[in-house]
Amino acid sequence: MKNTRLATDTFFRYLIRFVSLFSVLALAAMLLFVFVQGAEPFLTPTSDSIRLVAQNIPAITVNGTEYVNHSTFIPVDLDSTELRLEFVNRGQPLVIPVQINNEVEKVEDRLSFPAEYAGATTYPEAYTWMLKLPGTIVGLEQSVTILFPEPPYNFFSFLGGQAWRPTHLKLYGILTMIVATIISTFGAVLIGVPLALLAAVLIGEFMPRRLAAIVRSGIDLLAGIPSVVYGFFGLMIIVPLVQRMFDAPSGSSLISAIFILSVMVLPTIVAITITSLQAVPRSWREASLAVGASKMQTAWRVVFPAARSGILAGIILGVSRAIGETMAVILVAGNSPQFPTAFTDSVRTLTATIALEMGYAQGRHSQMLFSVGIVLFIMILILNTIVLRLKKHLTKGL
Amino acid sequence: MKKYIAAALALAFLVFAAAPVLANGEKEGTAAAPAQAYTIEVSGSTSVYPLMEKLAAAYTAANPLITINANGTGSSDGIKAANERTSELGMSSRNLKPAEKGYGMTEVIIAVDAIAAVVHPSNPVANLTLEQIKGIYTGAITDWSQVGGKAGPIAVVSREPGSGTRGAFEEIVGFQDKLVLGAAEFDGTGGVRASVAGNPNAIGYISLGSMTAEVKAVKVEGVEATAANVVNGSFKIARPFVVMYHNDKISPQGKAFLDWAMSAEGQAIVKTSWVPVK
Repeated sequence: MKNTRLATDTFFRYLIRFVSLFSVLALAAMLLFVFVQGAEPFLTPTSDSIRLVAQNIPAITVNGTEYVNHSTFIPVDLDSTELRLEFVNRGQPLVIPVQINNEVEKVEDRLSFPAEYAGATTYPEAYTWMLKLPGTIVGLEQSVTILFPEPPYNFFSFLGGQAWRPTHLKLYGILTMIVATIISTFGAVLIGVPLALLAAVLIGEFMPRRLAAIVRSGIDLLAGIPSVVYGFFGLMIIVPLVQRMFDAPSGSSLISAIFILSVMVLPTIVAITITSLQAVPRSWREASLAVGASKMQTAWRVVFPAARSGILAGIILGVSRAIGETMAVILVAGNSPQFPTAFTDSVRTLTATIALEMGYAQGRHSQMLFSVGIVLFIMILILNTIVLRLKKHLTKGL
Repeated sequence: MKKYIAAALALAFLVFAAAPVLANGEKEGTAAAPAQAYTIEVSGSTSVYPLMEKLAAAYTAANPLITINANGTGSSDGIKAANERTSELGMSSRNLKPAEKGYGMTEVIIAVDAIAAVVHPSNPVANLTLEQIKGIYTGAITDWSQVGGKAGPIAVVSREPGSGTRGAFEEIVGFQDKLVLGAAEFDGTGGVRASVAGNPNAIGYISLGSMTAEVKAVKVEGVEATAANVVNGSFKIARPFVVMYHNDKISPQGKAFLDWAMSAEGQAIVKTSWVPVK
């Protein structure tokens, strides 16, 4: 009998150890993946060679090497000073020498095509040139695309850059989004926290127990509503309302985001505050009332300070929800990466950027979204550290 | 001794729990004979998705052994999935970018789609020139009275960076990556449509296949956004719906489906809301 218990005990002890080991490893692997992806744009160029793509050209010779029916990238050494393209166009053999000058400051001017092809060349995206020649059949144009590797992105132009133009100009500045995230979170806290605390004191201290229990279950229900529902409510009700109230061109704005976020943080903060108010011993209240304090004085001067540790925990959870909120914000904030100068301006938060563009991002753009995630991660770490310090400071007397 | 057995048991328990997840990946490798049930995985553009769904419904009705599993995840995602061979077919609502051309995939244009500039139904503006649209989207024109409408600030609505619809619209109208700051950016056609439908001052753009009566399409350079006008070349804002695959990944069933989509039968379905290519 005793042995069986020992065996089951050991079984579960090891089960717990293995499970925790696996969870820690999985978490570590995930973080490592995000950090590796997010750090790459700042450490390595997008490729280690110049790459060419030839289309509708059966055979092309690049710097003396012939490629026949080659559909993937043709690599060319980075140190080359000339690209000699030889292929047949409409029955005519062509030789196009393209000069490379890496000393030139402006990237667009680094390649110089022979004068007769000036009309046929374009610069469709940063670091990309395209030579397009008419083919034998309409619609089957021959083209050679030349892709230069993008150098490692400057970390300070990432954090401090004001332009987020990821597709053609390949500019990845996220300062506007950091600012928008901070302002919208701060605004939500400024409106949401006082409301939540007042509501919690009312429900926890002044309402009859039975009514408080009903209201309490209603608040728990609100905390469980998916954020997209809040967002949809915001899009349909708040956004048109804001537009009419402020006579703005569009109601998708910073103020709508702040409003929705402050409503969303309410249930979390209220629920946790009520719980911590109720955890204050009854004898404290009785002692306060016995020395002649009113019910109101007891609530604000005795119960509330005694519960501050729990209340702060509730506020932290609320702030984390506001800073990490994505879906609801996307629907109401307008998502333009600009510095807000008025409350009716369209703004874009960090989380919104990741969610909006992940499905459509490609190459470095997609890695940059991981970098945005890391910035968000670090912001939340900093916030939590500050709040923990504050909590220590506040709860010193308890 | 018992201790070790119990520890080993705990580990075995975990391994068994994880086994179905790990083994799942191996199943897909088995090549199916033509007369067997088969699932074609398709993923990519949310704009192509409605068309792919219609094609899949018609095709699987005629070929009950085939299941077509389509996912609308975004053009770039579809191209990536097809390149990494996690999907048999990828869908894109834009031409492949230079860096994507180099993956060496086979591209098939299954349809052409017009992008309509849309406004609120109450907006009196019925016609805009390309130059005016460019002005609105770059911030040079900010009031409806400047383009012949009622006075009121223009609320510019756009898709998010990287979207196939946005890429094509910006390229054809001519303001690549120069969208005015302050414009509302939404992911998905639905978000743009809902936003324009709810704001009398808004202008947006959506795929012609996703038009509803909630919004009004304006004429561009005097030409209405219709499939017929795309065919005769008078309506300029159009882009291809591309399906791409790697030759070594595509199955006979996937190829047969794609051939069918390009046949008269498949193109007849395309014709319902889009522009057929044959």
